[in-house]
Order: sequence, then structure tokens, then C-alpha cells
Amino acid sequence: MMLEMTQKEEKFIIPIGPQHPALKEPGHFEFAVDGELVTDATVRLGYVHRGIEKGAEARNWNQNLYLVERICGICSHIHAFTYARGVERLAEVEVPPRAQAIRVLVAELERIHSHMLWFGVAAHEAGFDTLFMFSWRDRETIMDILEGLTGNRVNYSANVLGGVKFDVTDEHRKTILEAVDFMEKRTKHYLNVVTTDAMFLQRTRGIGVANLQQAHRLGILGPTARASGVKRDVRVDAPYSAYKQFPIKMVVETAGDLEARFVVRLKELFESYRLIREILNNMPEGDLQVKRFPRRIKPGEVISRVEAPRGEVFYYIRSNGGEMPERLKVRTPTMMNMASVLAMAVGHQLADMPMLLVGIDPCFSCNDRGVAICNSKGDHDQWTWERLRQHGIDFYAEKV
Amino acid sequence: MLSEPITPVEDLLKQAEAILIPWIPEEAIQGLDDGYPLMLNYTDRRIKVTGTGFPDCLDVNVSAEELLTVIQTLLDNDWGYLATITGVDLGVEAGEIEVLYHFCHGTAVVTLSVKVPRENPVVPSICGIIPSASFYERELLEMFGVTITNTPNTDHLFLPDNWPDNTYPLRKDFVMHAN
Amino acid sequence: MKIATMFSDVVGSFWKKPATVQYPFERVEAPTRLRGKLEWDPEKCTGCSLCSKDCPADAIEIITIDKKAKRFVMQYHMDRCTYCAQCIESCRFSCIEMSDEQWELAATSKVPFEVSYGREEDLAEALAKFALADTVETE
Ligand code: SF4
Ligand code: SF4
Repeated sequence: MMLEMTQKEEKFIIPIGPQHPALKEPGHFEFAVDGELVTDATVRLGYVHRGIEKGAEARNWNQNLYLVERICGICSHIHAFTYARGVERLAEVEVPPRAQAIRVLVAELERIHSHMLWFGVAAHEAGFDTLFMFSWRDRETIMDILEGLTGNRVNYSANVLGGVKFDVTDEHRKTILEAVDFMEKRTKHYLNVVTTDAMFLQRTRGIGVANLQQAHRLGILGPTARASGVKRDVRVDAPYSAYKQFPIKMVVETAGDLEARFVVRLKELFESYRLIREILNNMPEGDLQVKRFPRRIKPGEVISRVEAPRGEVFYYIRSNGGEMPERLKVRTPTMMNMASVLAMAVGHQLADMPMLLVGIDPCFSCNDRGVAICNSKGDHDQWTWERLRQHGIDFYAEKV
Repeated sequence: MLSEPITPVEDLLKQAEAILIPWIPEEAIQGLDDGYPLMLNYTDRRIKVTGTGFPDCLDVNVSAEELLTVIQTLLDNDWGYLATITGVDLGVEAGEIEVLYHFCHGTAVVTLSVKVPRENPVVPSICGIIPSASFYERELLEMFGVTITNTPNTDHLFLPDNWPDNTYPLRKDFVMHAN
Repeated sequence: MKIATMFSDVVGSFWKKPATVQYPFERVEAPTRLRGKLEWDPEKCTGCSLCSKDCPADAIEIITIDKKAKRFVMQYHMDRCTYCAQCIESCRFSCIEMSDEQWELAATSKVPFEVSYGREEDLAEALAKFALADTVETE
């Protein structure tokens, strides 16, 4: 990899990435540092740009359901859900209530596994591997349920246009309720750990603060925004699908630091557990799919918004009356949150960067990322992300 | 922590209408008192009744010159937040590119639509009002080749650095190589 | 503030068996809904090709031997299949099923991924036709 060495007013630029497991897309960051302090940050995305929006214009409405499901490996269901909901509104098809309940059920299960995954990785970046291992072990309970319920661990493929593919049987109901009880117990424990453990708080309390105004200005979304007191959650503001019937409460914290982001996400899990129980105990009866879904969809356009684990997913779909969409626009929450990291990075220690980046819950994909430290003489030495992470851990270990 | 009760979408849209009234043409306003007229015409979009028979979108066509004023008016009245900017290529025949600015407030979505000629598409940057729009503008620039005046950053965001000039992948005349 | 809040978890784990499984010596049974390899029943097929039209991965080809006699062959490209089950939804005659047993599908060559389904005589005829077409093309 060729590294561009730039020098701004006697300050060092530290490029990180593009190979960078802390993000959904490998991203290339450049942090300008003054000693240990970060004074400027920029990002370059698109290393895994797959042209999905263009590709969607050449596939029929059914095929696109699976294309969008593969936008993200963690919130796969959410994308298919948003897309299906949009197309159904465009076609003026009413999805049966039981199907809507199942969609929301899978969405909430997905939120649990996504938050637990993030929780583990964040713990790992903080050097707290015990927490990482245990939270991932617990997450496996949810993965097993999703596999048993839908037939796959990752791309659940639960949706079809006009409904869902499978039913929730009594047997599933029992296993899900048991798992939710177990997870609730564990989440309580984890909430206690992140709010009381001295070592952990040292890495999270008062770090990466974005106050309410900043959060608004930066357009932060999802749990990251709610940790800064922004009352914005599509499930509450604009209830869709079965959330109309099974309302959810919004979890808001005001501190705006990393600790608040942990607390918001963990507290959100309790809401998910409650909602899952409620859905399972009051499952509407009826069909799983509409009889026929049109292959051609009349001209028009629609906006579909859904709250993914990381924030609002926004779809704009336009049809010209054919078998394929004319335009499919996808806006994922990480895009906005990424911009916020850049702004928040300024004024922080280089050692805080790993935690700041994971704080917005980007997706984790690869294993080793290259970091190069350049000094003013122009020679540079290669850092791996592992070394930056270790730098963060050592930096704080020395302070104790 | 329960949030405040949800404002009905009708009220939100009425507010938006009141704010945007200078830019809504006469024909569209007529008949607004008795509910929302169904205006789903593809080319002449105003207030839309979507799938569930439920109006939740207000679309307003504005010119590129008016755009900043309209957005400023929306923000001054504290109506919603910018969700994203969408570009749509209306095709070689239509000869236009449509740039859509989506604002969300609760259940309601206001979309400002700016149509610019395909040959020389220019819109003003809104980063002066909404700084976080920079990513969206960069995307619009590289995917559709829309010139954005005064935008702070014109670097590629998603496309590779060695991407050929004047090649805009989301335009309709850009053909993907299958397989 | 406390220290070592995870201590009890760690100590507790000494008396528990590991959470992981020693695959392939030990196997966890796959759930019955698992989406594995496709299975196709030629008897019910009407040759409508909806399955192949809706397949997002272009993994199915329906080859018509004789439309009137309802003789079709399915060429299933397993290496392209994403196991999404859309074909099952699209087929109105329930010809397609997914196996919950055949999911360890890794192979060292591409050959096992080309699967042809159909009645024996139809398969033979399809093969003959293809061989013929091949020779015509090469000439
Ligand atoms: S499961 Fe999906 S990818 Fe596989 S053949 Fe069927 S439709 Fe195609
Ligand atoms: S959809 Fe069913 S009936 Fe139609 S070709 Fe495929 S398998 Fe045969």
C-alpha cells in the first residue's frame, strides 16, 4: 500500500486503513496529530463500494430483495424489511398482521445480536477481552434462535414481497422466551459492569463527548444520537409495521460520552426483550403472505424509513411501471455517524481513537489494518491496528 | 423514559405547508381544506397519498436559485432534519437530473425537488446551512456529475481515485458490464 | 466504582464445559428449517420458469425437452446459489424444496456444484442435445 505522507504546519498526519475492521466498509482515516492530541481528521470511504444502487436497476423487484439484504452482514433483515415495506406501499399491498409481527420479531432479535456483537468488539478495543468473550458467548443464544427460526444465521431471508416466509410455532415461542430470560439476566450484569468497572470507565467516561447541539449539527443517528439526548427513533417517531400495535419506548441519555453510548444500547436491549415477549404472547392470527404480489409495479415513488440497530435506514424507491425499479437510493446510518467521528476526534488523544471509532458501532469485517506513523523527516514506521489498540491500552495502563 | 406524544402526520404536513406556501403553486393548494387531494401523478408530484391511503409526503418543486432560501425557511421554523440527498437521472430524453432533498419530521417527509439540465447540472451547496450534508454532496457529485457550487470538499468519497473523469455511474447512460 | 466486575464469570467458567464444539468430530444437528441444497421434483413442474426469473443469483436453468409432455430438466448451479429460498416462494406448484441435511457443501473442484435434476430419460435427452449443440458450434 502506498502511503501518502502529508505534513500540515509541522504536524504529523497518521493514516489509518483502509484495511480497518472497526468499520462496515474498510475506510481510510487520516489523523493529524500534535503530540498525542488529534487536531484534524479526514476519511476516505468506498473500498467496498459494490454499486448496489446501480445493480438494483437491472434486477427485478423480487431479486432486489436479496441484493439489499446483502448490503450489511449484521443488519441484513433490516434492509430487506425497509425495501419490502417500501415496495409494498408502492404496490398498495397490505401485509397481513401476523407477517408484520414476525418481521418485527426478527428485527428485534437482530437488534439484540447486533448490539451484543458491538458490545463485545468495543470491549475488545478497550482491552477488556473477558467481557468480549462472554458477551459473544451469550450472543450465540440469539444466533441459534435466528438460525432455527429462519434457516440461516446471517442472511435470514425472512421476507418476501407481501409477507414472510415462515411461521413462529409454539416450540419456537418457548425457546425464544427462554433465551430472552437468559439474555435479560446477562444484560443486567453487563450494564452493571459498564457503569461500575473502574478500568472500563477510564476508557469511556467523559470521552468522545458530543452534546445535544453538536449531535444535531452533525446529523448523528441512532443510539449514538440518543446517547447525546437527541430524541430520534423511527420506531417511536413514525411507527411502522407492527410497531404501531406493539409500541416501543425510546431510550435517551444525556451525557453524550462513550459511557452513555454503552448505556443506551444496553438499555435498548431491555426494551427489545419486553417487545419480543409481548409479540410472542399476543401474536396476531392470520396469513403469512398476500396471495399474489404484482410483478410490475405502477409508476410512483416511495420513501421507507426503518430504525436499524445503528440508526435510521432511509430508502427512496422509484418505479416507472416496469418489472425493475428505476431508482433505489439507500442511506445507511453509518454514513452520518462516520462524519461525526471525524468531528469528535478533534481534541482527543490518539489513544482514544479506537474507542471513538467503535463508539458509533460501525461494522467489523477484516482483521488487520495498517497504520503508519510519519514524522516530519519523512521516514515512517508501519503500525498495525493491533499496535494502535495496544497503544491505547498501554497508554491507560500507565496512567493507573 | 417515554417520549412526547406523536404529532399526527396531518398536523406536521399542515405545518410544512404553511411554511412552504410561497413555493407551492396555486393549483395544488386548491382543495386542500377538505383533506388531501390524491396527486400521484408521476411528473407533477405534490402531496402524496401513499400505499396505506395515508398522506405523509409533501413534495415541492423548487428552482436551484430558490433552494437555499427554502431550506433556510424550513430550518428557521424548526421543521425536521435532512435525511439525505438523492439524485435521479430522468434519462437522456428528458434531459434532466432531479436532485431530491428529503427532510423528515416524525412520520412526515418533505421532499424538495430541484430539476437541473443534464448537460450542465448545477446546484448550490447547502453545507453553509447544514454542514453534515457534505458527504451527500460528494456522493451526488461523483455519482451524477452534478456541479455543486461552494461545496467544501469535492474529493471522491466512494469511487476509486483512478476513476475516469466525466464518467458518472448512476446516470442512465452508464452501462454496467454484466458478469 | 469497582474493580474486577467480571471475576465471578471467569471463576464460574472453570466448572463449566466449553461453549464451543469440536467440529468436525462433534456435530450440532442442523435445525429442520435450515436452507441447504435444493431438491427438485420434475413431476409437478409446468415449465413456467418463474423460479429461474426470480433467482437473484441466476442459479437455475429450466431446460425444456418437450413442453406438451411436460418434460423439463433443471440445471442447478449450486456454486452460485445464495440459499435465499426465493425460488421456493416463486414456484406455484411446490416443485422445489431445500434439504436440511445437505449443508456441508464445500468441495475442492467445481464439478459437484453442477447439479442436474430431472427424469432419467429427460436428462439423457438433454445431455444428447447439448452434446450435439456443442459439436455444431465447434465445427
Ligand atoms: S435459493 Fe435463491 S439463489 Fe438458490 S436457486 Fe433458489 S432463488 Fe436462486
Ligand atoms: S417455478 Fe416451479 S413450475 Fe415453474 S419452472 Fe420453476 S420449478 Fe417448474
